[in-house]
Amino acid sequence: MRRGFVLLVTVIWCATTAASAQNSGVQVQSFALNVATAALGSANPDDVVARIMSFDRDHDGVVSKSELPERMQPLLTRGDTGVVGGLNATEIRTRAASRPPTSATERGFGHPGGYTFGDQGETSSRSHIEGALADLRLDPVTLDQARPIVDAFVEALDADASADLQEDMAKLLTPVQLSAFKKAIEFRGRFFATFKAPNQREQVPVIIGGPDLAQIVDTFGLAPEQLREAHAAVDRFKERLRPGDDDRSALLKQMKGVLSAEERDNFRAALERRPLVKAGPAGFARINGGGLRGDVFNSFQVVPPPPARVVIHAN
Amino acid sequence: MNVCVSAGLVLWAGCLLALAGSDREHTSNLSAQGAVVKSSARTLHLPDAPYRYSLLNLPAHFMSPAAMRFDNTPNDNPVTDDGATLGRVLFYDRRFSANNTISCGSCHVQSHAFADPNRFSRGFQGLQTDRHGMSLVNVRFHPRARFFWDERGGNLEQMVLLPVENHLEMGQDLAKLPSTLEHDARYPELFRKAFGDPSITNERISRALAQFLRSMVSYQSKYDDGRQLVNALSDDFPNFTAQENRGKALFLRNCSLCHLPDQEAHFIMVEPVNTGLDDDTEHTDGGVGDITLNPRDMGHFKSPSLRNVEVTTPYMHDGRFSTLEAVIDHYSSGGKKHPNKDVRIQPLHFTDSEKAAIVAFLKTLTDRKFLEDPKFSDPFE
Repeated sequence: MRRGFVLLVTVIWCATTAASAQNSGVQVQSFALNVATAALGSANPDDVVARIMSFDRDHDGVVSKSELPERMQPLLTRGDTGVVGGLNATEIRTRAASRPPTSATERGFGHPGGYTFGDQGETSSRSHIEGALADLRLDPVTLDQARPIVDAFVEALDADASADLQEDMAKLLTPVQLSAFKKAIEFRGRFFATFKAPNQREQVPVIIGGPDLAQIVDTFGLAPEQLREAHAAVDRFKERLRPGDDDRSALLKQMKGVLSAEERDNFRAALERRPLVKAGPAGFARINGGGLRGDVFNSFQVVPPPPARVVIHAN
Repeated sequence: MNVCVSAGLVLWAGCLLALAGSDREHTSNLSAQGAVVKSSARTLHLPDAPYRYSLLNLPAHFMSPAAMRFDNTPNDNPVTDDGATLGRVLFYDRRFSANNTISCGSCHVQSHAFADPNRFSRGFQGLQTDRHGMSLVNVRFHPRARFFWDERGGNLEQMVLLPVENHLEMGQDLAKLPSTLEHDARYPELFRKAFGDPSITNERISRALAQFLRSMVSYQSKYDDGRQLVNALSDDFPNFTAQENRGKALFLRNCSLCHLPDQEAHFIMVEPVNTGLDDDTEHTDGGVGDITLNPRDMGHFKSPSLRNVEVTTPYMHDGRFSTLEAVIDHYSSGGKKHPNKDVRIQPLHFTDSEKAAIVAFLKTLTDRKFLEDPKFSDPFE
């Protein structure tokens, strides 16, 4: 049974890695929110025109060199196309529209271009809630008292979310598919891979994340409508794993005799936050014990370990 | 007659010697309209043997492959002891401004981690610029090697002369600068030591200044001491207070995606970012967008390293925040709704004690040795 399970997650992991590697840095895993690209630039050429023309102090329709701050004066020497000694709105718009969009990859330094919420690729609420608790830096005695409460809360929340998802998926999948899917849901561990930089000997262990439920769903050959429903169910599952207002209040109520009022305020604030992490071509990085580990290396080479040596850390 | 000529020559020679031995300082009483200047002599003091700029005893977290990738030192201009020594003299020489009133070091003050303690920097005529003078600490470790708040400076070698010739900042005529320096008898020797012959050119001036700037590496803070005492950054540092460790944990979870990317040494943002300081694209500083005219760059600004951030107040390109608490309040709120605001700027809703902990952690980045190191100080008296 255990061997079969290992084989299953290994196959999933290898498929994920291979698919991502083939896309060589373009595709991020489906659960990663490739939000950086969208966020880089909602301003448009009209905004640029309005900005530059705001320097037209004499309102003659032309921004001249003397009207611009010195740091911006090279704009005139670089691209003044028609109007003598200045830029008009048409020229500015033409130049603004011709500017290539600055991609996140260009902007970053080894960034593949996306970010995701740290809790987005997991099948448990544990790392988020335990991370919030860890950030309080409690003394050992208090921490020992707090941990069992958090453990029980996480188990209940995860079980609740998991039950809802299984119920939804039971309507969409065959019994065999549902069985495989259940194993993925119940898997609470993370996959690790090893990245190696060219010209470097050291291999860097990287957390790839938990099973990608959305990608697993994609392998079931569902009809389009069913596939949409399945993805929606997965999204609801992930949403449910994030403690809502009622969840937080319930947990904090249990913590009343353990944490001080200030510590409870801080715990609530930490539970409300959703720290972002970078997404990568072969997985995504995440906060590991508070520090960024296994970040994205788009110039790095994916070195998948042999299946027999895939490391599975089951919590 | 001969006596008169001889006396005149002696007087003239005496004047030359006096000039050669000093950088003409102008004790200034600057007004917004102009400058009332009064000259006085400044004497250059350099140690017999140059300070060690080229060899740094960097801790291990600076030496990781990821951290080393941030070094922007070009192969053709490595930091040398003599080159950085020359750069130091040039950095503090007030003859770099048109009226000999200010040097680079007038706005980039060592005790403030080479930032300007004033909100807006003032130029040689006392006129105010519209940007805050940013910290120069660890500029060596900016991998994009683009400088100024709007990244218009292509590399350090190119960047260093732009304020010198800027009509508001130092107003110097670069065509005349080498000959001005040639009149100081000490410079040819300093150039010979740095570059092999006494020739003074603007290219050499910029290379020496860039070397001095790259030598300004801060690596001896409480954070650096603590990092060397633990295996992992996420471990509590034994030399930290509980509050500082808590601040570190909060910083790593909520701030490090921008300020500590890929490594543990530099505390920089590798790319200019729109942090939601303003919601107006028309009447507020466009930052990088004002230079590139790329709509996506509007409101993006470069950030200096957070090292020594305790002493680089005020903060942001326009010095709008006078305290670290105000900066953290900004990020805690999630910033304003600029269309280009970076996705990483999310409301963080820090509590008061969390803000205090983050501030406590940021203060562990203060490097007193760096701030007081004589090799970075003004060599003129």
